[in-house]
Amino acid sequence: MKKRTVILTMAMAMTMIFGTTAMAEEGLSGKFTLFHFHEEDGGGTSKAFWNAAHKFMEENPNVEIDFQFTDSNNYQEKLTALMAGDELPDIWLTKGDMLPTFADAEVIQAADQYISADEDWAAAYVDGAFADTTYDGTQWGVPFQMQANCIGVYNQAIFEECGIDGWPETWTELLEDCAKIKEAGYTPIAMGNKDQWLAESAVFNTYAYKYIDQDWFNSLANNEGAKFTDEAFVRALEGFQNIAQYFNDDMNSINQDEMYSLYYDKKAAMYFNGAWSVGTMIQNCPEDVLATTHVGLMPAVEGESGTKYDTAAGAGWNYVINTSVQDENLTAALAFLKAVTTGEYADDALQQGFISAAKTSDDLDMSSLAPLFAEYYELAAQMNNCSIFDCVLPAEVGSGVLYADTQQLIAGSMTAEDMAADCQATLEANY
Amino acid sequence: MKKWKRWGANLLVNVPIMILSLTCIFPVIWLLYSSLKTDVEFARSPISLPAVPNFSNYVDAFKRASFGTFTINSVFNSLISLVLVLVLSFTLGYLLSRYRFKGRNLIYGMLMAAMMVPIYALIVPLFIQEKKIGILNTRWSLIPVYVAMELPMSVFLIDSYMQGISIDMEEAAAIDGAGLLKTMFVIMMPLCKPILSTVVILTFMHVWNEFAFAQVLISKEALKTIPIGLTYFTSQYMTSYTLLLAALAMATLPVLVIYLFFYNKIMEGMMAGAVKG
Amino acid sequence: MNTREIQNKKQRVLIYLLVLIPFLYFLYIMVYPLGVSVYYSLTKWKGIGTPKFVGLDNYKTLVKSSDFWLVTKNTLFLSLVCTIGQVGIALIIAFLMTLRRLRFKAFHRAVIFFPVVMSALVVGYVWRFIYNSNYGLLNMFLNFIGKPEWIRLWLDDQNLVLKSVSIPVVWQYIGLYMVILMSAISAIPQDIFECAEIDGATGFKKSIYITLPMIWNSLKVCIILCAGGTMKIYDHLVALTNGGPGRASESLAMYCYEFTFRFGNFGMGAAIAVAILVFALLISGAIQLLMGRRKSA
Repeated sequence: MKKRTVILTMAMAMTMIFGTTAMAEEGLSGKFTLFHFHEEDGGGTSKAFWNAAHKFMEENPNVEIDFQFTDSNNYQEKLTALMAGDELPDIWLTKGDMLPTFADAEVIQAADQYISADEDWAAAYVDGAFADTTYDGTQWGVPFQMQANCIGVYNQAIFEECGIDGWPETWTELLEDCAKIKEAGYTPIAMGNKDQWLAESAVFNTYAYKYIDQDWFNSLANNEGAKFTDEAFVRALEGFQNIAQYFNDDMNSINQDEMYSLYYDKKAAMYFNGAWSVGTMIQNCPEDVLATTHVGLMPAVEGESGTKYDTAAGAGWNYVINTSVQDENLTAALAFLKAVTTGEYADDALQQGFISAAKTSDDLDMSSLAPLFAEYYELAAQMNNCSIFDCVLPAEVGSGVLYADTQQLIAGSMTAEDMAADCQATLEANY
Repeated sequence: MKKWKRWGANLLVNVPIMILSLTCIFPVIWLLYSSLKTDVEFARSPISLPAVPNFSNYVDAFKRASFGTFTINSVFNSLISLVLVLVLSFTLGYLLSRYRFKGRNLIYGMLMAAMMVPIYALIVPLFIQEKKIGILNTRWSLIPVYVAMELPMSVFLIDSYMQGISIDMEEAAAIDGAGLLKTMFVIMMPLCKPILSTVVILTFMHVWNEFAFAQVLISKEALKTIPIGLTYFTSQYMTSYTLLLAALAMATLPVLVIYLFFYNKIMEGMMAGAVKG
Repeated sequence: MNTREIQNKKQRVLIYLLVLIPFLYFLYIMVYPLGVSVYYSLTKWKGIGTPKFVGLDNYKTLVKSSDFWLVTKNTLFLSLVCTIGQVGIALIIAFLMTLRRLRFKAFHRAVIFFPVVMSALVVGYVWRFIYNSNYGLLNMFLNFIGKPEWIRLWLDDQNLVLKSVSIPVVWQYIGLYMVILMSAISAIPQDIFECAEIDGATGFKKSIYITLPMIWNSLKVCIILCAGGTMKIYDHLVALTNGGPGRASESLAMYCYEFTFRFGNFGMGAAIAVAILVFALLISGAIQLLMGRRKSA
């Protein structure tokens, strides 16, 4: 409780110092329920969300918000039950792969009509923020984060010890470096794929974009000609199977946190994972390792079309609004969504170690950011964001067969051709 | 020679069980010392000992998972379920075991079937049904489900136990003019103490730890239970493991206490027969 | 046969009343939703709008899917291993508990139950240390006894993983069946043991010829509970391997969960649940037949 009071007091103090007009207004009224996974005392996205939410409630005491929390591991299950039981809340978070179901059943209202009506709001987001929430040409949701799903994190000291002068620019260099690191007795690339999403969504997805591009993926997702069995995609699978020789042996039985442990213990020289791992490093990495930790873009593969900038990235989850929310409740809900995704929220998010979907204010002091996060922030600005497979494809494919087969691919128990055929068959059954 | 043989037999009996028992304590010990580590220590090595025991994890975990409220809810659900399960399953188990009547096999079959269904197939239909009756997201959302869930196993245990008890006592009671209800609850129930203690242990354990239904049927913070509180240490990209483990240690304690208390009841009967063996 | 006659009409009414109240309640809370689920299995439903009736389509898809048969095979294997392992070891321990030779009885009884109450998360963690290839206790032990060539990737080898995960599951629930069997043993009247001792039966003989027949019904219930219960196995596999690599250690219940909650395909999810139910009922029917319907003293 104490912590919360401090935050509130600080928020109040800030409003007074910066002289915003918020205190002068009597605020909005209305009420709505919000189903979310932002743990109140959690880190990263949660902290920024609650800071913004508390500030909003302070300014609008007449808005009654019923927060319904379920942790992110169990969120989807509960959402599915709420949907099937026709008990959907007023606002909830959803991932792109469930969007068509909601939109087709007309249980959500499009967000873009309201966002574009408010010039301030419309101008607040970065380019591509709405990619994951667009379905049938309509932007249905409100994004709150913008993360690269893949970034290389490496220990400079181990690199130097193995005679490597820096992060590799090309895939061939990466393979050579891995061979040297392995020679020196380290695990070149740590991999913790027990939960099945890490290898596919946070590594392979981006690697695939070195071979294919966004157009190909759009064509695949919309059944317009591209197939998993296309030569370029199969080559990507083969290349990925090849790099797996440099993962730790138990790649499929340790989880993300145990993978970090390998890195913290200086047993592994690098790993690839989503940008959220930057925040984890800053919080949990032993200081000596953190001091020599840097981040890099996944290198491009020679002879293939993709560049090192092509990265699977996006908002992932978005807030959507129930069709039943109308009038003053709708006004209140929209104002709330604006408050918890843009403006001060964006600046706060950076301080908490993640990038929001909204633009930060121009006068934000970058020097206050943790050095590793600042490094990532610079790389993120150069990235060419591409769709995340499991946010767009039907779940049977995106988080079903793709996950399970990637596990077998890197374990060497499935060939690239078989995997491509398996994925394509499942996709065709689910268009 | 004979002495040696006896020695060997003693070893053969004692050593494997001792090894098994030691492996059974290990998780408890691991849980206790790991819950005293810092997150950084735990991240580095999940198996090492804490440098300095960090008792504040328990305080933090207690606050963060609203353990106060959630414990009251869990206790409420467990106790009421326990009483209902004991009464209903003893009634059903006793009658099914002692009397033959029409529909008996059908009842058996239904109990058996419901026990074999994976709960994930029941969650959504139950959600819809509770919504219709109007008990969704209330204090009475979980107890009916828990009672029904625990009924089959308890009935089968009591039934099989009753089959091992002769009917002499009941016949004698009938001659003395005792009615069915009196025979059941006053004469037979105390005889079933060992198996009822087992039912208490198992029911309490299941209800106390039940997650899937509590997760879906309850949305109000004020009604959530301890297993839900255990998820409060996971935010979108990070889990605070040491707090989680501290919370787990606190959540496991009541079940262990109940077990240690009630298994003694089982043993009173057993030891009487065994000690002389 | 320890059964009694129903005395008169009044008693018959009372018995029916006492049986029907809990049973109707049970029907309403458990069996009715189960019926709804069976209905879902005949429909195509994404969880929104009205389910569309498609007859046996889901079952046809299921039978044709090689994944389904793989997870079925995994589940049946686990069910068999767990039944033999859990109930078998529990039975031996329960017998040993009646021997004077065994020391520290109270200690064993107390701690063997500990794993039963531990959360699957903790059990998963602990066993993953044991199997871990970096600091795993098992590999450390193999090195220690000079057999490093026996080291395997315990949880990563798809031919081995199912056997590796079955050990923790067996280990965890020995205590559960131990308690049930011990409470059955405690019901055996004292004088039977005393008579047996006078006749010279001691130790193992006593267990086999006296105790076993006396607890036969409870043993049968344990086996049915265990075989049927393991058909629903979920938490442990999620904690240990999450079904991987591929689907090499995935169970039917995980498969059911995946379709229902990850894919939002309620029809298929329900069809898998019905399949689990059918398998479990077949197994328990077979056990009833094998062990005899009634065989009490």
